[in-house]
Order: sequence, then C-alpha cells, then structure tokens
Amino acid sequence: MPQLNANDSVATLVKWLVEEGANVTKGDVICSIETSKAIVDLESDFSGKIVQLAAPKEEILVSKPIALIGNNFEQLKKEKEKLVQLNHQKSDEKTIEAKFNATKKARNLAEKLGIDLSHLNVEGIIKEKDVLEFSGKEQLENQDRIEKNDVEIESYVDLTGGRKTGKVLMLESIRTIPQSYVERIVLLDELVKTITNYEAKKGKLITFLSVVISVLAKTLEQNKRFNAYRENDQILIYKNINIGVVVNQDNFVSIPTIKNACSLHPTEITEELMRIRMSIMRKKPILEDLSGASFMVSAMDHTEITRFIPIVHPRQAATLAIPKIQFKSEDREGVLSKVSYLNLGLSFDHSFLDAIQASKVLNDFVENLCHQKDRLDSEE
Amino acid sequence: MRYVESLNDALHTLMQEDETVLVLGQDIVDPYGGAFKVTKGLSTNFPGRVMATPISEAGITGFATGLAMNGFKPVLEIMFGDFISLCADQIINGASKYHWMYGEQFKVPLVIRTPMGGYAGFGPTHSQSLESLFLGVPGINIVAPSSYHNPGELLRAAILEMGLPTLFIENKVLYPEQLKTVDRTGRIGNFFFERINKSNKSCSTVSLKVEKEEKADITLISYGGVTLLAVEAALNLIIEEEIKVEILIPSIIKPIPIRDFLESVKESGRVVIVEEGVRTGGYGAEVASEISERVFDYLEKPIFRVGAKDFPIPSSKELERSFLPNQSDIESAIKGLL
Repeated sequence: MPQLNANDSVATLVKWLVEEGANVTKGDVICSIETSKAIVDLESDFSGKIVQLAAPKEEILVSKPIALIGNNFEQLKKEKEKLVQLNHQKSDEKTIEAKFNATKKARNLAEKLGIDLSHLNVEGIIKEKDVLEFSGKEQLENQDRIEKNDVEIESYVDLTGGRKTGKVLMLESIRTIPQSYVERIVLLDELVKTITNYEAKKGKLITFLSVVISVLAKTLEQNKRFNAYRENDQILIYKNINIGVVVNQDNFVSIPTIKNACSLHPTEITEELMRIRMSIMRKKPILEDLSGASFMVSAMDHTEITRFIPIVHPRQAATLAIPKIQFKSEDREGVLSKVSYLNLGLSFDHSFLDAIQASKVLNDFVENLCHQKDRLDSEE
Repeated sequence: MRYVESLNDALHTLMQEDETVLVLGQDIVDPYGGAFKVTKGLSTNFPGRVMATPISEAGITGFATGLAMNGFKPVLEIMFGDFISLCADQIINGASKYHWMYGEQFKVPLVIRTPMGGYAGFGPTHSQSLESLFLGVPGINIVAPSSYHNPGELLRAAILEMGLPTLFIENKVLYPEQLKTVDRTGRIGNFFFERINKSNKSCSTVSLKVEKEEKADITLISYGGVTLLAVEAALNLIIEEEIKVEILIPSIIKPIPIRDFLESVKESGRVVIVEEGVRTGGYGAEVASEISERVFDYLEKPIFRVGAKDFPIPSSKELERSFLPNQSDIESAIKGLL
C-alpha cells in the first residue's frame, strides 16, 4: 500500500480491477485505493500472475503488501497461505495475552507452585502476591501452617519494645565482653533466722534480696574494679555504687536500680524496691529508678533454678547470680541437721578481671554477709 | 471516537451555538478541510465564518488578536506547531498583554490551535514540541489534551471559558487515536482511571494506577502525545518487575496544576516527568522545581526528567526515535529512581 499523502498512515482498498491469478503487465491498472484525499488507481510495478492479499473495503497500513505478483502461481498461493496463518497467529497471541495479563514474577511463582493462572479470580493484572494468596488458600485448606526453609513454623511473634532492646543489649554484650564465671556455696541458716527475728523485733520489713544488695554494695567498695567497665585499654571505675536488680518481667528493660546502695540500710533498700515496684505496677515508672546501674544482681531465688550463669551487661564488670535457696543435710557436732544454702555465682568480664579476683569478691561477700547479720542482730 | 473527530464535532457544535466563533487558518476550507482534517466540513456548514488565511503566521495571529479584541472568539489554526515561532511576537508582546496594557477594557479570548509532535519522519522543522517555550509568558494559558481526555470538551472550555489567549496544543500522533473509554470496573486497559480536578474544574488531570488502593512506587507525569509511550513503559514495568507506576496526565500545561500532582508525589516520593519537548528548560524543569519547593521532605530521590535530546530532530524515522523520548528511556528513568 503506497503512502500517497504525507499524513496518511492507512488507505482503503476499494476494489480489484483484475481477477485473482490474472496475468498482469508492468503499468497495468490493478486496483483502486482510497486515501484521505481521493480515490486513486494503482498501477502494477511488475509483470506476472497476481495473487490478491487484501480484500475490498479492507483498511491496510501503508507499506504493507496488498498483492503478490510473480511467475509461479502455485508458489505465490503458498506464500499467501503462510501470510494468512501468520496474521491469525498474531491475533491469537494477542487474545491469549489479553485473557490473563500476569507479571513475570507471578508467572514464575505459579510455575514453581504448579498453579494454573486461569484458576485465579483476579481482575486486572495478576501479581506475585495474588498467586501467593491463592496458594496460601490452597494450603490452608489442609493445614494451618506456612512452609519456610523446609522447617515448619507454627506462628511468629515480633520483637518489640523492651524485648527488642534486650536483644540489642545481649548481642552487644556477647560481642564485646569475654564472659567467665565463678561460684561458691553460701550457708544461709543464720541469715534466715536473723531476717525473721528482725521483722518480729523491729516491725520493719526486710527482705533477703535487700540484705544481699547492701552486702554487695559493701563488697564492691572493697573491690572497686568490679564496679567499673573497660573501654579500650582503660578501666573506668564508677563513682557511685548503683545496684540494678534484674527481675523477670515482660518488659526486660525495667531494671529497678538502688542508687548509692552503700549508704542505705537493708530496710531502706526494701522500701526503695517496694516503691519502685509499686510505681511500675501503677504504670507510672520513674526513669531514674530504672536506669544508671553500675552492677547487676540477677535474682532467681523465687524459682526452682539452682544454678545459672547471667550475662554481664555492656559497660559493666560483673553480675551476681542469686539462685534458689536449697537445703542439704549436714552433720554438725554429731547432729544431723538441715541447712539452707545457695550457689552464689559471679559472671565477670575476663578481659580485665580474672578468676582469683572474682573469687575474692565472693569470699568478701560471704564475710560481709556475716558482719551484716551480726549488725542486724545487735540492733535494738 | 477518534481524537480528530472529537475536535471536529466540538467545533461544529460551538459554531452552531455561538455566532461569534470564527475559524481561521491555512488550507482549512473544504474540500481539503485542513492539513489534518480537524476543520473538515466547517466552511460548508458555516459559510463566511471560516477564513482561509495567507501564509503569514505573524499576520494572521495579529489579525486574529484584533478579532478577539473586538468581540469575536477566533480559533486560529497554525498548521504545524513549529511555525509558532513566527507567531511569537504577536503572542508575547501583543495578545497576552493587551488586556492589561489597555486597562482591562476588553478581554482577548484568542485560541491558537496547533499540532506539535514528531515520530512521523517529518524532519527537524515539522516535528518539534515547542509549547514549553511559552511557559514563561504571563497572561496566556496552554492546554494540551491527551487521548485520555476529551479534546472536544477541552477545546470548548478554551474557547468559551478561559477568556485569555490560549495555546491549544494538539499532537499529530494522537489525531487518529481512539479516545480511551472506561470499562465497568473503572479501568482503561489495565489501569484504574481517576480524574483529579483540584486545580482546574474544566481541565482535569487523569490518574492511571495499576492498583487502586496500593501506594505507587513512582509518580510519572506526562502530557500530550508522549503519554502513549509512558503508559506502555508503565505496563511493561509492572509485568516485568512488578514496579507500580502512577501516571498523572494533566490537560492544562500553563498554569501548572501542581495541586493535582502533590498527593501522589507525597505517597511515592519518586517522580519522573516525561515530555516530548527538549529536556533543557522544558516543562519538566518547571514542574520539578515547583514540586521540590512544595514537598521536598517527601522526596526520596531527585526528580528525573525525560525529554528530547538537545539537538535538531533527525529526518530519518529510526534516528528520530532515539532523539525523541522512547519507551526504554522512560523505563530506565523509572528504574534509576528505585
């Protein structure tokens, strides 16, 4: 189809002026075409037998063939067949594509999962997430599970808030502090008696944990390197002894901290701990109460855990472990008696502290515990 | 209905309704009916109101300006948009300023219709898109319908409502295109169709989105003829890589309907502007500045513009396709922002 006008991209075949298969000579008028301006007769550029490709009234794109002219009529007819088939194929392809338009990712996933895209009831273009949703539906019909990495996962929970901070702290801790641990037995009978009597005697509340904290504070005064942390090649010793109590709550990060524990009597520590716990329960925690610890105590004495190794927090030297108070039988001066004790543990930063120093801390603790017991007994 | 038929219909209806509407241009009289047949039939149906003008763009623009100043609504056809350079002085120092220079004694409701655009192998002086040269001329409007709008309605608005000199930019490639219609699901083809009228009631911006509710990854702004390429590019990217593009197609180019764009830009944070005109100092440059001035904090990446190369358009059709924006230019621009 010739382009007779600059602005025409199509023209219409009006009618053929020669029969199919007729012999034409170069220069013969073979058909009429209609452009946007006028109806024009077309002359043949070649001689030979003619095979018509366009039909009357058909709109053909400019530069597309409208007829084949040559010597071998049979061959020309075969060519025409081929062209006709090609056209049909193209329009079939278009309809197939139009039927369900899917993205590459969707097709790939569907193939992988063995899903027939025509089963999806999606308007518009099918995307990967549509295939996922469809496949999910199929699987959910069998079981309520999602497969990931061949290990079946039942459900998932997001780490948020305190638990997330906890994760960050612990990972940092493990990365930066080489952790070691020492342990010794502490006999507690005398102390338990003292505490029970004290409450009766003075009418003031005093807990085992508070006594531990006050004794620990005294011990840290004598072992300042354990109330410190290492930064590069320096040991930085904290000015105050602030003891944090790691309690098992949902919100990992809330660590009630007793500031300047040295200066406090165990009853005062008891009161402080209660006050802080109340404020947490009332959902009105005070930030200063829950931060600024230089040393941690991990209290598991109300559990069945008899020994555990706590992890030293970043920017600290050590953590004291208080597991369950246990009982054993002991032969004292020929009398079999039941004594209470616990496995007092100390995790410490081995990059600047060693086991001998850590053992000294535990021994000092036991000695101070004795002294504290005596003091409490002697109070009026 | 085809783009050209929509315009022809609108002109027939307007001339029927309003006697002051006059049509002028070169070779527009029947039976030829104009180089692109937009005015076909008008001289026959409205004798005396369709004037064949000499080949002097400056002269006929001045003449039409005079008509507009004196109570008529002239619709002047400039045969090829490239010739608008010859009308420039009459527009810049004449029509656009007279309303103000003469103390608002009259309006100048002159409409100049002209087809811009290439991709047809017409050569460097018959294929340009020069409308962005006029962005900096105060006192005029520029309207450029795409095949996603109704060109006839926009022409009607330009002639009857705007009341100031308006460049009505048609596109050669769009003339034979069927106007797009919305199907019962609210889609045109694979895209959800929505009209945004925040900036201008008569000249809406069309929004095309693959997902109705989901946030788009990229906002693509494009107008006129090159929109067809932009839509193809967006479709290809969703199929190949599930990249979600929201296409915004304004119909009014000056003043820029910036408020129509902002919501989408704030959502995606990534913008590509596609124009058929030259990239340097073009429509994209102006829109990018407006967007960044207003919603900079929402942008994730710099705004990218696709336009014609800073070079005369070659006559060879193959070369022309690589000098004017093509589908792969647009796709690269989009992928470059992700």
